Amino acid sequence: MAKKHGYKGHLIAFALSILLTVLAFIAVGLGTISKTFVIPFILIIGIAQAIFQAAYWMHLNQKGHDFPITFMLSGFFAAIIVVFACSSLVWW
Amino acid sequence: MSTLDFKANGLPAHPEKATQEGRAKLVGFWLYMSAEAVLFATFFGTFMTFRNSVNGGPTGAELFAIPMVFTATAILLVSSLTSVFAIMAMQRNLASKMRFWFAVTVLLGASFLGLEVYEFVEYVHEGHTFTSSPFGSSFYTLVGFHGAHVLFGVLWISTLLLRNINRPIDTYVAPKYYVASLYWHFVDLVWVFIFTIVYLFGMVG
Repeated sequence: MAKKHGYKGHLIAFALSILLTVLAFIAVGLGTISKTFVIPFILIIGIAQAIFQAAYWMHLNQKGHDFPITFMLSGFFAAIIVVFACSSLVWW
Repeated sequence: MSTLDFKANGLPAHPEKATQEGRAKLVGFWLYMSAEAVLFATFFGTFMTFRNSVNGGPTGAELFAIPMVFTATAILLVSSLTSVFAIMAMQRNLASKMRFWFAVTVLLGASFLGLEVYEFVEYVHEGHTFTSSPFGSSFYTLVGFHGAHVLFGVLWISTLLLRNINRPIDTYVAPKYYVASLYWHFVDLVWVFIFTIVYLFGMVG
């Protein structure tokens, strides 16, 4: 992307967010797609959307953002562990 | 837009990072964000564990309706975009334009909250309350806590706007606006996971 933090980049991020959101809602709203496909599908496009928003809107794609990226990634790393622990291990 | 254009406006290219204090605010803010990510993670983890423990009450598939969730999602997404516009106006030293976009952001945030209150009232009528089931408790804790973040953001940005209503943009206030907009984006980011994991997963079953 030529203009990483320009007006255009933000509009692209917005259009992508809307597109991914609509896709997720359609996948669920149709009601005909099997559950084993829909769950991972909407989870993956949710994560994709989160990455886009973090890159463009929270400006993590700009230079000099190594610290914020480290903080956010360690936050999400801990988040994933917690979600896995609660939703599987705790139950056994 | 080059660096020179910004300087012609009387502000450094990144007024929010021009001072030591501004940079320190940003580091502190990012630390806070990662702590918030972990906090929401514990709520998400709890919700994932209990999302089917309905205790005879209504299930997510019975409660959630696509139009309502989609409207709320669209409102929050647009509000994130308007707060980006506000920051871009700030960096160009266009104070009234920045205030306009932040005011739009606040209004959208308030309408999101209105919709959420309406939604919760609906659910309570249908027998889905904080104490009705583990699903209810974890749902209201997670979604309600996100709603509280939206409310805090609305109050925060409104206060900033009122406090600095006549103040031109300078390197002292710029970090304040910038951090508030980052917070707003984070709240929107959490909602992406809420509409996916709580609502869409809930509708699938």
